[in-house]
Amino acid sequence: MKNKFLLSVSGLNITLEKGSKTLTIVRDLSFSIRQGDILGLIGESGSGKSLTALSIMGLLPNKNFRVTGDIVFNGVNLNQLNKKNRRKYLGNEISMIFQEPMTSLNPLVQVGKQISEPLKIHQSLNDKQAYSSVIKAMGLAELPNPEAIYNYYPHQLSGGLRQRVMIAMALVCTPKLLIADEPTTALDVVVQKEILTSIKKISKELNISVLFISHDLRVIKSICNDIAVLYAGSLMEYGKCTHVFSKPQNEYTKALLLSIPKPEQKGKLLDAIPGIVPPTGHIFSGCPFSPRCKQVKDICKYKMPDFHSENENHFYACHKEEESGERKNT
Amino acid sequence: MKYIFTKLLMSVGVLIVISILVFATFQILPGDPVNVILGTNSTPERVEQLTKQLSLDKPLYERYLLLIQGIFRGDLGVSIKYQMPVSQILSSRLPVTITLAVMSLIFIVSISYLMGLIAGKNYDNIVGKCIVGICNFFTAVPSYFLCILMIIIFSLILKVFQTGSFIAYSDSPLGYFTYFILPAFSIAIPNSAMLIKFLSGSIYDQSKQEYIRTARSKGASEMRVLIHHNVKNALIPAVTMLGMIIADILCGSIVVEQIFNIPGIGRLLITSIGARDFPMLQILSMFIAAVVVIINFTVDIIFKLIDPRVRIE
Amino acid sequence: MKRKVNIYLLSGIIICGFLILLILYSSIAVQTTMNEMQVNNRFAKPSMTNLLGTDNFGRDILVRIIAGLWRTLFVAVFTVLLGAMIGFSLGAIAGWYGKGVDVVIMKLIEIITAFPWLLLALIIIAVIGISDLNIIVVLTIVFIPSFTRISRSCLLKHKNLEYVSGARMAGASTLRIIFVHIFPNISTELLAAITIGFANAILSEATLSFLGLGIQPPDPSLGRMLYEAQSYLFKAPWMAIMPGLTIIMLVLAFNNISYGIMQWLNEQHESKEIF
Repeated sequence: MKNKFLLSVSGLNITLEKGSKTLTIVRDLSFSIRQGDILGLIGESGSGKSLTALSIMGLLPNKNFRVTGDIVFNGVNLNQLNKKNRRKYLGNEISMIFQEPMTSLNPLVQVGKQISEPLKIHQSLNDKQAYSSVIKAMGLAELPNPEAIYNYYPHQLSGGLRQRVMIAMALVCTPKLLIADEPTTALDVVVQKEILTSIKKISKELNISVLFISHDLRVIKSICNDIAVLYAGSLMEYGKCTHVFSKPQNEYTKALLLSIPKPEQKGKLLDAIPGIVPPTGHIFSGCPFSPRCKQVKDICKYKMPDFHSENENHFYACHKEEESGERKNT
Repeated sequence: MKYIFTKLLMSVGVLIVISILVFATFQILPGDPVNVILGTNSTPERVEQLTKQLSLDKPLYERYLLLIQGIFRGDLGVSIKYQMPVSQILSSRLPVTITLAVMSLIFIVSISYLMGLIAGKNYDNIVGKCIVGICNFFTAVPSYFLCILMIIIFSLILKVFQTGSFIAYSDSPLGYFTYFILPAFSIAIPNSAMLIKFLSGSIYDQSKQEYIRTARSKGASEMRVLIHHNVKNALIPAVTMLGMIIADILCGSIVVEQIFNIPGIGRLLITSIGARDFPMLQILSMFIAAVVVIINFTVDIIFKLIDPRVRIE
Repeated sequence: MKRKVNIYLLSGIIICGFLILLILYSSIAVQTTMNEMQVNNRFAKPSMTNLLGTDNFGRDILVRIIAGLWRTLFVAVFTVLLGAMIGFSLGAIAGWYGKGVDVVIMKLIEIITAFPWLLLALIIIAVIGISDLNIIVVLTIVFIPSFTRISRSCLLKHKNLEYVSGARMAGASTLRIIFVHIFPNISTELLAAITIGFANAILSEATLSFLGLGIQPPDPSLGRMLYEAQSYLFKAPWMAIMPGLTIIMLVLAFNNISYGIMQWLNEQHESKEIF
């Protein structure tokens, strides 16, 4: 039971039609999450990580997006479901919390009622019947004085509290998977730490898997078991956090880890990655990181690297050891 | 609470100023009402008698106070043209205009909210653009021309209606209400067009907000997202338009009553101007302006009550 | 990226241009013949001699429409001109000085708008009488509030912007700041207001004429022609349809121009697309 994968994404491709052009946002992305694990998806702005999360939920903003690939949740391929059937999962077995707690809540409805909405939708309960579950969820999200806050409106709460409301909303139907799209980016550092601790605690106590999306390595380091590194829509490295952080194999991952400022570096130049991130949807023929890679070879520029494995929990895409490569995907 | 009280005070202030202005306009500027009434029958004694009767010999401010006292007592003066108490004429005409106005409002609200919803949901595609395009057209059509067109189409071409004369309620309630359908419709359409454009834009703007995405992430169906989340937020700015629309309905009814010979306040206004019936005009003007002020005040209060962001400070 | 043609603006200007050319071309001839009655040619259907037919007095409708257009536009131009001058100035003063001045001016505006516009127009006419020029006075008063509001809200937005502080520090007088610095920056909003004002002025003038309170017979006016056509709807519907369509066309044209201007405004403010 513990080794069975809750969510298995394979060959995910997200494209966007813009006028006459077709932009590739995410290319051949594959990863899996076991029940109870926390997978961190890291990437810079425009790497496609948010859109990946939205595509799992089926919430891409407009019809010009095309998603191909398998998104298998608990044995069911979500990508092949029609809208109605897919909706049954949202807020129910899979829920999501967003980056901007300020604007993600309906300004006209009391937060308690917004938290009880998933129960209304999926279990046909009314507000009264759902009340106790809502209070319980608010407690899980570590909201102080739930009975009082139930009647508050979003504008009366601080950013941190609003994010906890979102968490309560996401927990109220006891989901199996929680997708967190940069939930702490818009909050100050102190509140950030509190929210992260809460998420970790909830995941452990309720055995909920979390897909945690962020651009901040330190945040991912603090709560995730596994990590997937995304660059310009392609998966660069993937594996257990402990392995990847101690022995990064992909050049981008290495450079990313190096770029975290450490106290010992005080006074010295920071190790930034030279060059800039390519625009979203840019077409690559080879490895997307090749223009900025220190170890770039000719083959990198025209051939997308296969996946190699460092060990059974650690995979990376790179051309550096071409002889010993077996394409291993989960 | 404090806000309501202040607003009330200000509205009352506006009403007082309006009454003074209207009074001043009709008492000071125009000609001599005594001569108008008596016409060729004037003799010095009759002039003196009528002047006393109309309190025209008293100073202005006293006349004003008499007028206000009279209003509170229910005595609104005597119409020069009809030689009857103004209150009597008003009470017979008012229900008619109210019927017309209420019917127009019902039409406007039902058409606008339905079409506004559809247009807002389909803002990006051809359905929405067609609806908005049609609305753009109708805002350019004056209501009286619509009346004429509809009469031509229904009576001449389709031979459905027979535009007869006004049917009193006492004669036939059904006929009474049926008679109002065409007029109410022609007032409703230009106003609906405006409201639809506004509502659809508002709904579309709201649909781009993030809390809509949150609602979807909870598994809400499109219908639920639309009605529970989208529309609720889009309605609030639309409430502010209600005041303007009602003022517009009043203007529309003035014209439409002329066309269809409806014995309402609007027609009364026009005939009073022609007859220079100043006592009547005075009361009518104050009354209509007062209605608008009261409605605007009510709309303002409702608006503040609905939006919790403003309510809870 | 291809530049999208602003279809509203274009169509509005084309229609307007067409109508104005029509007027200019025939205005002189029209003035003499517009009231000419051809008693034996009454109620003539549209034909080659009378392109839009004749009315109950045998007067050619096309000629009267053009003459009516001329008068309507005359009234509209002066109404908007006067109304905008007074309204924009009042609004600018209210917005700039704020506090007491603002309160007084806005209270004045509130009182004017407490009356439905037609009622206000009727009261003023009841007092000053009916004449061609009086319509301009009446409509100007009715239109001042909307111009005032727009100019005031623009001024409130701009008076705290940096370029205004810069002008102040350079020693510019208030008058200079408002007219030389701020107004050019809000010219698009003001222009949109003027074009909408035009459209509304045309509709308002037509309404007043319809009620017999505008341009007096026998001189033609689009609204008046509609009124006269009422009695003959079944006999000669073109008497009503043609003037009505003209009003619609005219108002549509100005509405479109205004909408086009506002779209152009939005495009200028639009940020680059990020997804």
